Amino acid sequence: MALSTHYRGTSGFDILPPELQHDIFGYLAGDKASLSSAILVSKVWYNCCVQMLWYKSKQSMLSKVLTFDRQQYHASMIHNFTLDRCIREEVSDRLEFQLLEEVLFCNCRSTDIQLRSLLQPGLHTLGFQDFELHANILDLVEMCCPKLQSLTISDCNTPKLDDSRFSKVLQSLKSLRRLHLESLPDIQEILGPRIDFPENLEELTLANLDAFDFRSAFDNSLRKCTKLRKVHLEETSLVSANMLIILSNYVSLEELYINEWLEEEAFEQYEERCSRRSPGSPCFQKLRKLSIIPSSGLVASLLSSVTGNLVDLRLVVHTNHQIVCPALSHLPAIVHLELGFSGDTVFSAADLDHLSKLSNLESLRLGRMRPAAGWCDWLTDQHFEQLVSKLPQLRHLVFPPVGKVLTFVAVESLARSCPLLEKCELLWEHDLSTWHASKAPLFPKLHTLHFGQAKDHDDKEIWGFRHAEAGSYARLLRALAPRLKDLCVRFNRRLSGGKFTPTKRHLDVDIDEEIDPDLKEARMHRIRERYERAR
Amino acid sequence: MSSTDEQKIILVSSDGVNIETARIIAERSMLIKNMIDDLGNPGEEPIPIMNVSEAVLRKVLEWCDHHKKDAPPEKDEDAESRKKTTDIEEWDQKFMQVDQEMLFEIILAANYMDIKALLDVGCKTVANMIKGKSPEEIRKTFNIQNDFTPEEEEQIRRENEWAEDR
Repeated sequence: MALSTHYRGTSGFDILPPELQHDIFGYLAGDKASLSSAILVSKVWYNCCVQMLWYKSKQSMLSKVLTFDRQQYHASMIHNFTLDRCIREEVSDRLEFQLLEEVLFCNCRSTDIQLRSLLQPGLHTLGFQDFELHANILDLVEMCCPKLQSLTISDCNTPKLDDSRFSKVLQSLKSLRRLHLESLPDIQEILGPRIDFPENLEELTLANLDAFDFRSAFDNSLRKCTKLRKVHLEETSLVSANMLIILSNYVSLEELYINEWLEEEAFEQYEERCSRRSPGSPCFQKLRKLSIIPSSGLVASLLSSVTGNLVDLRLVVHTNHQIVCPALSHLPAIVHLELGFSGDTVFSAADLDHLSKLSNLESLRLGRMRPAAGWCDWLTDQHFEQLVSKLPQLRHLVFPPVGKVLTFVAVESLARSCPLLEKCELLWEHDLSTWHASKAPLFPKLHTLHFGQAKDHDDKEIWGFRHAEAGSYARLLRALAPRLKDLCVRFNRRLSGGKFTPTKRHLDVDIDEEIDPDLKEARMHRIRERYERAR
Repeated sequence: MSSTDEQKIILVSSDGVNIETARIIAERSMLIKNMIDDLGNPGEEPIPIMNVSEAVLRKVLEWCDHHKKDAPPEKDEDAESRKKTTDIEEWDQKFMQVDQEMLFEIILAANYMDIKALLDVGCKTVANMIKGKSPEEIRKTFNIQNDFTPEEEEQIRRENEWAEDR
């Protein structure tokens, strides 16, 4: 099919030079629905947008294209390709991908021809997920991908792989900066007795690896990777006092994420060795982002050793000793804070007071695992107001389910104190019949609003149950927050009909369709039309 | 405010109309800023803005006046991350509520006068007019003729059906 004869109309859009049209279409990148409409507007629009639509594609998408020539036409546009599970015969393994930069092999099989065409010199990102990683594939990676910067291997089997084969491949990849290993049952065989991570590594993720047996070998290898900027360790049994000390010396380390139980002993050793450091060599000099989940009582000692560069902190507190929030007030530069509490921890008015000292906060997310009834009965609108009135920079707030103790007074105080708010998750139970519009919008910048529950004065849920006033309440919210797009009720009652007692569910409310039912009808019409076409 | 900011300069539109404005406002345009730097005697000689008519130039200067105290343009990488969003400030949204002819003229003027932030707002406005619409709605919005044959249209639809949403 020839699409080369371009009609040039007289619309305003046509007076723009191609580079400006390209800039405009650039704002649609990643918005596949809009791009799929744009390519059907005219031949000029097709030629402008089809490459963006196919920039990131999957094998299953190519399988919808019928002829080899058309498959090759589309393959030539792909920069980021995922080989996913599809009927392989529908996609030729002889396609050439001239622009390929990133490839993910995901839950699929591929032929040698296909492997050779995909593992090419221009590749900078490669991933294997749920895949059988044979020695010949590693040979190809070593031979054909000298510019590889990022390698991910997750949930893979590694049949008949020689000891240390993988370590040798890693050493050969001189450009490798990012390594992600996750859920590999044969990790010890893959890496061999002596781990050798490339010394130029900047990002390292190890997740769900039972790697306890080579903790000391890991520490030794880590000692050489002095350029690490991000370290992410999750369920690996690798974290020791020794490892924390090694990492604390890295001047390049900016992000540290640890998601595994830390032994109290490790913290005690770490604290003891930190106390022996000279004042001129502070721990974690450039650390900007720290996440420790779950954290023990001794996390306070870690926080006190971190320098004031920390801007992003995530903790799940598993202790009843109220020492974490006081420790936070020594880190006034924090901009993003996520604080979770386990079932036993106590959250008090004093904790709110400590949090209110973090006046630079742009994002505050407070959560609680398994919220129990009455855990925050002491909380009042005044407590809430005192907290938010000290946080004028706040753009994102998550406040946990606290029953019915907070009212619209708290919501109004939030709007008054935090005019920059864009995203709000107020996960308690709201009686929207007490909400009322004001002259000016309460939340001029708010685009996301999540409620715990949204009810009327009769305790009836407003959305999901054909409430007669649902449209009026949607209009009220739009008046209070004109930019609101994402409205969600997080713990809405599930519709009855199941054999279990009512449970809770997320309910995404399309606020535009609630306000204007014609929009919903138009969407349903489009779905019906597509269904008819498919038939 | 320094005396440089208070200086007045005269711009001449493509249809020959002289428009007086403050230097700080006009210098949101890198074209004008560079011309002033090159000429060295701001205010003495009118500066011709060849490709922009009076009506459009006045509109562009209105935008420059509102944004005269904005921070200088960001670095390239920041500009890239900013590009991902099509959010537009409330004042700019109202400013861009003009007929389509004027909207495209503003975009062309912003491009010619090298006013990156105004060009971004214009392009985002047009992108938002495309988003969420069906092909037919887009054609209607911009008065574009469908030049596909039914067979071509059907083939493109089939090959790209995976991308359709909702």
